[in-house]
Amino acid sequence: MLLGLPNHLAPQSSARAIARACHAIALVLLAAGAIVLLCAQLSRSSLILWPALLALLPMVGLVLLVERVRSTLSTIAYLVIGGAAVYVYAVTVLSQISSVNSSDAFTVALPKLALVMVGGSGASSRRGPLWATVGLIAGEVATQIAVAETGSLPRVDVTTLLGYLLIMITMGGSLVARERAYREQPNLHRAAREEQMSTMRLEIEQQASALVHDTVLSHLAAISLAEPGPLDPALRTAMQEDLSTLVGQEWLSEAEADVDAAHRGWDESPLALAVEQARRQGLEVAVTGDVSAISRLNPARGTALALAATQCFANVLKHSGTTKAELVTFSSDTDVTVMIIDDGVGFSETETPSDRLGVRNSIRARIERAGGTVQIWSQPGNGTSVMLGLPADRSPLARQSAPGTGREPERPSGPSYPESAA
Amino acid sequence: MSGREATAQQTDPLGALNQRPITLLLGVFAVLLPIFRTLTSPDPHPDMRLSIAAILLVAVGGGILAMASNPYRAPFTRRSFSLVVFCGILAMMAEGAATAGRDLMIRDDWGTVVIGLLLLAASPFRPSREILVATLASVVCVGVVVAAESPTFATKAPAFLYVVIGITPVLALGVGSAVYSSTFVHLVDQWLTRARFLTDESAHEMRPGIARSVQQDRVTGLNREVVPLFSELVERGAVTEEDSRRARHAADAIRQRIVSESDRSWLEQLLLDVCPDGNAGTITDRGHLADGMTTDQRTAIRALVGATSRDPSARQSTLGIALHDDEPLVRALIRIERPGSDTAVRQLYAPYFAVLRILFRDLQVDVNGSLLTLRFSYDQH
Repeated sequence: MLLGLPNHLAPQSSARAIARACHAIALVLLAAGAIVLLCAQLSRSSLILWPALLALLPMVGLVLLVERVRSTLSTIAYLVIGGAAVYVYAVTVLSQISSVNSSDAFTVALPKLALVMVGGSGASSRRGPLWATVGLIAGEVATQIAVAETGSLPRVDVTTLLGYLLIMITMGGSLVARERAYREQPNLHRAAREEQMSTMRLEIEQQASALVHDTVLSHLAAISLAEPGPLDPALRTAMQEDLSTLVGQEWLSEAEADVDAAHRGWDESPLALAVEQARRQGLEVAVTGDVSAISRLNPARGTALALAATQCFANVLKHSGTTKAELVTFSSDTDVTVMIIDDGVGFSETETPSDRLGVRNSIRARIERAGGTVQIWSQPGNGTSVMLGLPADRSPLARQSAPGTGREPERPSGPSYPESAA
Repeated sequence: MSGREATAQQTDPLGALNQRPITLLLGVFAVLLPIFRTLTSPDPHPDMRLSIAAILLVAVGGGILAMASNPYRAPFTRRSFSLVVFCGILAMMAEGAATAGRDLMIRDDWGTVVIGLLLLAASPFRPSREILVATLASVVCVGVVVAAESPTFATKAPAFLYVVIGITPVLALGVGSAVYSSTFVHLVDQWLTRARFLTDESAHEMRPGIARSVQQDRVTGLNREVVPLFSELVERGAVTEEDSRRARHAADAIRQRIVSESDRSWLEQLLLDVCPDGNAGTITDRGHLADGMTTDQRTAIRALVGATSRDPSARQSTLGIALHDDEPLVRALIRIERPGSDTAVRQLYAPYFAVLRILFRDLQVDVNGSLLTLRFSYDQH
C-alpha cells in the first residue's frame, strides 16, 4: 500500500480538485441567478427578464465544457462569451428591476462571480490565478459598460472582490504550499516499496527454509543417526536428489513447479504422490472423502498442500509411535480441506522446542503463504489431527469435468517429494 | 486503529499538511469578515452584545478548525467538524438576532458567508458526503433566519427571493467544498489503484531476482557445510562415525540459522538494513508484536526510521523501539537522541508525525531536551 500522491502528480491533482470545486460553485451561482430572475419575473409579470435568463444558458454550457475539456481555448471561450453574457445579464437586470440599481448588487454579482470561478485550464495549474484575474476583469468591464448604458450607480463590488480574494487564497496558497510540499513524500514511497520487497524476501526465505528443512536437514539428521557402515540406498538417492535439486537448479519456484499436475485430478496430483511416497516409507495411509476436490486447487496451492502433507506424514512416522494415518479430504464452495489424522502419542504444539521447525515452517508457514489456514488438535496420549485448509480456485461445478473423481485411485509412480522429519 | 475515512487528509496526509495554511487563512478570513461587516454595517442600532457574541462564536469555530487541522491532532474528526459548523450556524443566528427588526440589507449579512467559509476550510479533512449534509443543514437554518428577517428589508420583494439570495453563499461554498473533497480523494484513489497495479507488476518481475539472491545465500552455506559431505557419502556409499558427527554439526548450524531467521521480526530486519553493522539501536519485542502492524503502519515506521538514519543530528545508535503487549492493543514507544530545539525537531519530522497520526490515532510526540519520544498503540489483530 502507498500513502498519498507522488510529487509529480500532487500539483495537477490539487489544481484539478480546486478547478472542479470552482466549476461547481459557478454552477450554483448561475442557478441562483436564474432562480432570482424567475422569482422576480413571477412577482412582476411586466418585467422583461428573459434576455438575462437566456444569457445565463451559454455560461452554464461553457462551465460544463471547461469542466470536460480543460484547454486554454475552452477557458478563453468561457471568459469571452461569459463576459458578453454578463453584459446582457447586467443590462437587463439594471434596466428592468428598479431595486437593482448599482454595479455592486448581489443579483448582478452572481454571473460575475461565476466568471471568476473559471478554475483554470488543465494546461498548467499555475495559470489558475491568472484566469481568475482575467475573469474578474472581464466581468467587471462588462458590468461597468452595462452600468454606464443604463445610468446605474458604479460602485466597488465587495462581494465579487471577496470571491476573487477567496479563490486567490485557495489557488495561490496551494501553489505556494507545493514548493515546500512533498519533500518527504519520496521517502514515504521508498519505504512502501522497501516494505513490499522485504515482505517478498521474507516469504521466499521462509520457502527456502522449509525446503532446506524438508530435504537437507532431514537427511543430515538421518546421517547423524545412522550406524557406521553401508549407506541406506534410499538415503543415498535422496542425497543425490538434494545435490542436483538444491545446488544445481532454480529450486525456489514452488509456485511454478509442476504447473499441470494440480489440475489433472487426484491420480496425478502432488498430494497423491505424497501419499504414495509415505506408503513407500512404511506408513499405512487410508485415503477417504472427496479426493477429486484436490483438482480445484491451483498448482501452487496443490504443491504447497502436498509438501505440507509430506511433513505431516514424516512427523507421524518419526514421532507418533504409530504407522497408521488417515487422510480425509472434503470441500465447500470456497475451500478445499485435508485432514491428516493419527492415533499416536500426540504432542503439545506450545511445548514444542523453538528449534523444531517442521510444524512451524514446513506446515503452518507454507500453507499460510499459499493463503490457507492450519489447525492442529493434539494432546499427549490422544493422537493428532492436522487440518490444512486452502482456498479453492475453481468451483465444484467446474471440476466435474476434471478426471479422477471419486474414490482413491490406483497408485501411480512419479517424482518423489522430499522425505522429511520434524 | 479504525478504518480510514475517504478524506484528503487520510488518503494523502502530506498533501493535507501542506494545504493547512490555506485552511488557517480561510479560518482567519471567516473571523475578520464579521468584524469588518459589523463595523461597517448600515443597520441602525444592532444589539452589540449579540453582535459580539456572534463574532466570538465564529472565533471559537475558527479556533476549533485550527486545532483540529493541526497535524499533531490528526485526523480531523467528525465531532470537531460538527462543532465548527455548529458554531458557524449559532453565529449566523446570533447575528440575525442582533439585527432583528432592524436589518435593512441582506447583502450585509455575513453569517451565511462565514458558514460557507468554514465548510470550505474543512474540505481537505472531511468526506464529501458529510460536508454536503452539513451544507444542507446550514442551508435550512439560513433559510429560516432569512425568511424571518425578510419583512424588515428595505427593498420589498418576495421572501423566497431573499431566501435564495441568503442561502446562495453557503450552498455554493459548501458544494464547492464537497466537490473538492470527493475529487481529490477520487484522484488519489485512482493513482493508488494504478500505482498498486504497477508495483505488483514490478514486484512480480523482481521476484525471480530476489529468489536467486536468497538461493545464492543458501547455496553458499550449503556448499560450505553440506555439499562436500553429501558428495563424499554418495561417492563412498558408506557412513562413518566422523560423517555422523559432521552431519550433526552441519544440521545444528543450519537449524540455528533457520531459527534465528524465523525469530527475526521485520522491525529487527529493518534496523539491520538501515545499519548493517548492527549499530542502529535496539528493539524490545519479545512476542513478535511488530507483526501485528498493518502494511501502512509498517511503511510509516519504516519511513520514520529511515528519516532518523538520514538525519545527521540524530544519534542512530540511541534509537530504541519497545513494543509492549497490552491485549488487545500493543503499546509502542520509540525514542531517539536528537539534539536541537523542540520546534526544529517537530518541524523536521512533522511530515512523518502527520502520517503516523493518521495510522496511529493516539500518537503522542514528546521532545524533551535532546530526546525525541513517540508513544502510540495499535490493534494486535
